[in-house]
Amino acid sequence: MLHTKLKEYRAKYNMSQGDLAFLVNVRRETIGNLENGKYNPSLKLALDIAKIFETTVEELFYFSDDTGI
Amino acid sequence: MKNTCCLTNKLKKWFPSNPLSYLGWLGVLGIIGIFFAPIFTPFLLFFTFFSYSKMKADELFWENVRRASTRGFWTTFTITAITMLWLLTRGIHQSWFGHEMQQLVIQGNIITMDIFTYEQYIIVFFLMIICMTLMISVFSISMFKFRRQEKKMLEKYESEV
Repeated sequence: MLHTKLKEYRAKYNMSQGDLAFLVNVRRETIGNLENGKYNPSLKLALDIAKIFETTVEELFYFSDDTGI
Repeated sequence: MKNTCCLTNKLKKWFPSNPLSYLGWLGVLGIIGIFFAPIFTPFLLFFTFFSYSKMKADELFWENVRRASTRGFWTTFTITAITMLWLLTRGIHQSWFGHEMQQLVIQGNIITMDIFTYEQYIIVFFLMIICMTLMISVFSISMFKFRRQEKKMLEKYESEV
């Protein structure tokens, strides 16, 4: 399953879901779904978010060990 | 330059940014259908597409559209397959067991057709109406369900914060 550190990074940058959604040009619902692991982002969205937090996609999104990947 | 910018902004207000909402105009065919051709009446359901006009069409939105339309497609596909199988069975039964065909004569319009074939046409006619209605209904209900789930999730997030 895909996990994300989006919540931690948002807190670090003192950013709300709405702020991040505005910056990457998506709806707030999309960010909420991403944080809850209910939606796998496109490569473009993942890169856009990573750019905003000045990090890499691998750092922001990762698979849990139980998948064996 | 300034005037062009204002004009663009004004036009943007008039034209919704979500392309799916433009399908709402197909609802006009439904209004025409009420008066002239009942087969177009289910097009009235397309008016529900105007509800997406204020929604930003991001990738999750298109993902939801894809999921909802897949559901709509398979519902229609199943019903069409079952009805076609039924029509085929009826046809085979008719030709094998050879019931005597009655002629249907509609005077004025000069139509001469056996009743069995006429019944088959009627079934296909209603199948088309039912399929169109179901496809749009399943799509709209699915989209409504996804929106409600998203809303609930946001409410949950807000209560946590």
